[in-house]
Amino acid sequence: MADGATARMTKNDTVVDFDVALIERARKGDSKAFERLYRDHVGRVHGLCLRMTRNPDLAADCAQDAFIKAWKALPRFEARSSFSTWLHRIAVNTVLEKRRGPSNAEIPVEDPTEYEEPVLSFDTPVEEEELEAAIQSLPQGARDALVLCGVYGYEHSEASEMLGIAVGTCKAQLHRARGLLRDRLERGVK
Amino acid sequence: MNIRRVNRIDELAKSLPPSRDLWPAISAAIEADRVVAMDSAPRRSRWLPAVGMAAAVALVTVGIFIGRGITPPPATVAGTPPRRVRPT
Repeated sequence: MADGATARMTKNDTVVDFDVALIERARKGDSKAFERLYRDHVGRVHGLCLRMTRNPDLAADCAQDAFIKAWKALPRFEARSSFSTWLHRIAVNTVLEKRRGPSNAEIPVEDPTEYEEPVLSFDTPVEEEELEAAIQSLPQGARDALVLCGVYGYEHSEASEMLGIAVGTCKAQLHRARGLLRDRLERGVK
Repeated sequence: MNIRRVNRIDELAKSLPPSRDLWPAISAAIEADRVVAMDSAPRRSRWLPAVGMAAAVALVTVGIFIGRGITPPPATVAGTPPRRVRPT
């Protein structure tokens, strides 16, 4: 996944991860370096938590806990995934733990390939606030898939792993979310 | 007020900062974690050498004891009967 918060593209399309030095310092116990990482990433982590929980207080708690867990888990962080993806995975886990609802119930999938669709776009521009309200009105499982895949650009494989569901279920949830979202935007979200 | 419109869902803002700064609470939790780690570390380092020393002494003692038990008898020359020790 392209990671705007941590990486910049050079002329040669080489991804340079500016977090590496900060991560190394934080791993050695430098809390100032970790604070810098926090400042760089908190907006995206909180945005993810807020969209998944729909509750500002709970979202702030989840983001806070995610960073505390990340600090404790830093020695085990391996640069296989980007720091941002790793952090988001911790945040999603924290949200799922705190929510403890029947959120991501498996929905029957006949052929997951039928749900392969490009990014959700609209014929006429939609007000950001209206779109956020429509996303918030979605059922939990559909909303989770839409937030991770649609808004944050994760692949189905990554999102399904984060949510602890099958890839096919993730695709089906996203398909369902798209339908419901279009429907709600057409009718006007109440 | 400036109303922002989007054409695609991935144009929504990814970053939504929290209304309050979460760092003070995170920093406090990190410090608490550090204190716990420092409290447990000296205790471990104080006892480890003593336990190691005791284990080494015990091992040497057991080794000597076992070694004495399995030491072979003095070698005899082939064909000569073993010497009998007469009682004095």
